[in-house]
Amino acid sequence: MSSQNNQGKKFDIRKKVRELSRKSKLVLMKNKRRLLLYGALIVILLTGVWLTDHNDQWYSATIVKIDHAENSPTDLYRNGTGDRYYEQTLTGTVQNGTLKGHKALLKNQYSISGVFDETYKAGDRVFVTSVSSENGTITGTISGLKRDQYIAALCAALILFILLVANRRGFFALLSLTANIAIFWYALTLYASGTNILLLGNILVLLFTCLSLLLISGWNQKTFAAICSTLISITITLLLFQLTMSFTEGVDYAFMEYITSPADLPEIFMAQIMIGGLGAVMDVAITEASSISELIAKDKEIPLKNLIQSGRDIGHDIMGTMINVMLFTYISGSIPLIILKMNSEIRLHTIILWHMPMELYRFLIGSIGILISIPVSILVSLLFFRRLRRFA
Amino acid sequence: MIIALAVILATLLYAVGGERGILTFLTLCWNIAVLSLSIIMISWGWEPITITFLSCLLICSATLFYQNGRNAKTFSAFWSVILILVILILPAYLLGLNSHIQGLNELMLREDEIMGLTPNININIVKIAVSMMITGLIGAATDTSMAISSAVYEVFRNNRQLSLGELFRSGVHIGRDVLGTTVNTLYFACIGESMMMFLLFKSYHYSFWRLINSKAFFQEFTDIMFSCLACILVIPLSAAVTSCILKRPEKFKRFLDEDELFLYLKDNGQPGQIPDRDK
Repeated sequence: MSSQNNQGKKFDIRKKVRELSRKSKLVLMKNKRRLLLYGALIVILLTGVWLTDHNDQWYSATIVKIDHAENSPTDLYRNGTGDRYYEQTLTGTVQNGTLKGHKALLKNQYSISGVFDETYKAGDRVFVTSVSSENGTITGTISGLKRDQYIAALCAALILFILLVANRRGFFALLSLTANIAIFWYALTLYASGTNILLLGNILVLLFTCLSLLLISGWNQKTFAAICSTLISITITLLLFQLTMSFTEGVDYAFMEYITSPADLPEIFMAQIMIGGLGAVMDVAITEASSISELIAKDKEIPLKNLIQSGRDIGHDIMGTMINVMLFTYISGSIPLIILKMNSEIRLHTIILWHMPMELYRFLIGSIGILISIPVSILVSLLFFRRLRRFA
Repeated sequence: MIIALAVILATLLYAVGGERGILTFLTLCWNIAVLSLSIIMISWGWEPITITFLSCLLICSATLFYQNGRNAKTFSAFWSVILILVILILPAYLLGLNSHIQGLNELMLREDEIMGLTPNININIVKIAVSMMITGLIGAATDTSMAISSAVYEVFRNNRQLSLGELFRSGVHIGRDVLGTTVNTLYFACIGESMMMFLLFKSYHYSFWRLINSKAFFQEFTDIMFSCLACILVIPLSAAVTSCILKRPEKFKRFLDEDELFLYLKDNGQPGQIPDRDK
């Protein structure tokens, strides 16, 4: 009896397996083109990453691949914090240029914490400057690690996942990202050749807004409503910022990081906060515009009061998490520096008020921009879609 | 100036958001407090990644549960964010270790404010770099996963007969709409933040190849890349988690007993009518 039962079960399982394989074959047949496309994509991306991993001959600077690293402790103890210092003797091979194949002997010093210095190990590829050759062996100073292969790998991962998750939409998101990077790069070139940064910032905001919104949501009424409300909200935010500045002691621009020329710091800061808040404001604007147009499309006779109420509800739902995005994106970048400063016996209170006000300004103004854009985009979308209906 | 701006922000929060605005403000204060506390603890020499992970849990639960209530939506968003953190910590650590992302970059070393700082902190600074990446992505991941789980929840509320696969697909479909704008938000915030850095690169006449191999650029780049990756990967994850929880509420009973859709679980009843929203 039981063996019969078992056989029956086995048969059942076999049948199921056969059915499953048939089904999966069907799915494969159906999505053949898509699978081929993804296969090709993966191959292309892998080739790209492999190429950047082997592109040493593209560089004019000398690259040395480290074959062997020898570490010896030094008797350097500073401040009695227990941090140890080590000396490294690195032997390697030159990878490119006329000296390709020569042996290299390099020196390096590092500490356990690695704040100002780096530890190199076998397999790392480093750039070497002030190269001098002495009977076949190269010496010089290490100027930094070769990092482009990691950048290529991250880009490949981003492209792959964005296309896998969001296929066509993802492609457009990538397109807008690439276009925006290109525009930003061109603007930097223009700035270097002497164009006023504030003017550039204004043009950039205009271009960024139109381009990204058009690429993300297409050529339609929603997009135009979103573009209008983004520009209006940014203007109001900046006016508010200027107003606050004139009533208080203003911003001390000496706290900015990476100061090059002190002449146009206020303009640069203005451009920074304009562009920094832009993405979030656009996000709010397009969300409001598309949901209000959706509501009107579903029910042509929806009363104005309900529309405003729905718009406000949506705004409430997105504002909290959006402000959080701003907070963490801005603050996270300064965590290492804060920790360093705290270990240098500077109190947290002092750090917040004197060492990172720029991040705080950017975060606060960005959040204010998000909040202003909620009512503005509701109003603009209502004007857009209501008026259109009246004309129709 | 900071105080003036903070006051404006609080007023606007109340004016635009009313009661929800006050909740948002309180959550914001809580998040900043948790963040500062975790930074203090790291500077004491506690294990940075563990501290960051715990503070992310606190921040995430405050943002989701306190700000948006305890229900199936926030519950599944919470688990998706935790999963994405667990998934991304290891790649972030390996990348940070191999690419020497840690420490001060070559541009900062030329700054005056570095002069007085001690380099002898006796903390593994690779781990600090990793916790920086994780903290950067938590906001974006929470935002995206909340958007998706609440959308899937709405779909399920309007059509209870949908299968697991259908719910998942609608979640991913909605995610596509969210993705583009979130990536944009991250990109522009990053550009705004690092504009000075790029201007400096330009004024030092860095070539393209020198730029992409520099540590300063790499730090900014990995930061934004990990945020983008997190908010892409959280889309299918959040859709899957939400549809699983919605289709098998019995298994997650103890977390859902405050949710209006699953009130019947409390007294082991059968799924009844959908509560009417307008009432």
